[in-house]
Amino acid sequence: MTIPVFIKIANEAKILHLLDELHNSFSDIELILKDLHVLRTEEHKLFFDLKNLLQQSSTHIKRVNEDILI
Amino acid sequence: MNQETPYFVGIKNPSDLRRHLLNGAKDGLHVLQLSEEIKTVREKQKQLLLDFQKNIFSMNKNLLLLQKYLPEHNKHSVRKHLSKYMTSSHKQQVADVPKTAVKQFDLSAYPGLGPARIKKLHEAGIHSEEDIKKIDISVLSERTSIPESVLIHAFKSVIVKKELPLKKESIAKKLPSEIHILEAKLADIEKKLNNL
Repeated sequence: MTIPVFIKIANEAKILHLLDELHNSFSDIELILKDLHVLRTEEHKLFFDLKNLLQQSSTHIKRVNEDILI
Repeated sequence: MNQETPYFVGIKNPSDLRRHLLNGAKDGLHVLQLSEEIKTVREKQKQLLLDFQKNIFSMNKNLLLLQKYLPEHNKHSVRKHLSKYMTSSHKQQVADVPKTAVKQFDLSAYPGLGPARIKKLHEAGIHSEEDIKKIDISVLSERTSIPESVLIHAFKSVIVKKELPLKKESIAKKLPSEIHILEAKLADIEKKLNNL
């Protein structure tokens, strides 16, 4: 059962403009979310590197300590 | 002038020590570099989140405006509008919809009834609330092998007017205990003695 429904729209131009803006906002949000995802992975990688570097540094300091301390 | 007394420590491998010291300093510098990179990434994230917030605000604003510009409608006006295009057969179909879609008896809505128990209850002939009201819970329990307490808990709302089977405690309360019988006998004896 299909019934045609007609709705009278007065401000067609304004509505189209608003829909266009909404569409733009949605695409902007999509891009932002993608960028955020990339940044998040980058941050994870940097933290991982930092952790490794700190571990390495701590071993060096330990060795120095062992040499100096009697 | 007070000078601290110098303190010397013998080092076995000076080159190794030197290397470790230098490497430690190098690592420290790398750590600082990485932390700066992390800082910039965080700044970028902050900026992106601000943009995101701005976008959401503008979207909300636009949606409100859109709602304002779109024609208002309510259920009645839509029905009225649709009725212009509906033939008699359509109207009949629409009228039939609520009848066919009358809420079906759903046993899963009752507490403590899983699919297996629902299947057993269907097999025992429970297809409506009336069936539950008509049938005795203990009989239903025997037929379905579902514990009586579970059935009582599940159909509490349906059988609320019916008398629930008495619990053992309440039965015990209603039956006269031995002490009461003995007391009654004693009272009889006392009466007889008084008469003598």
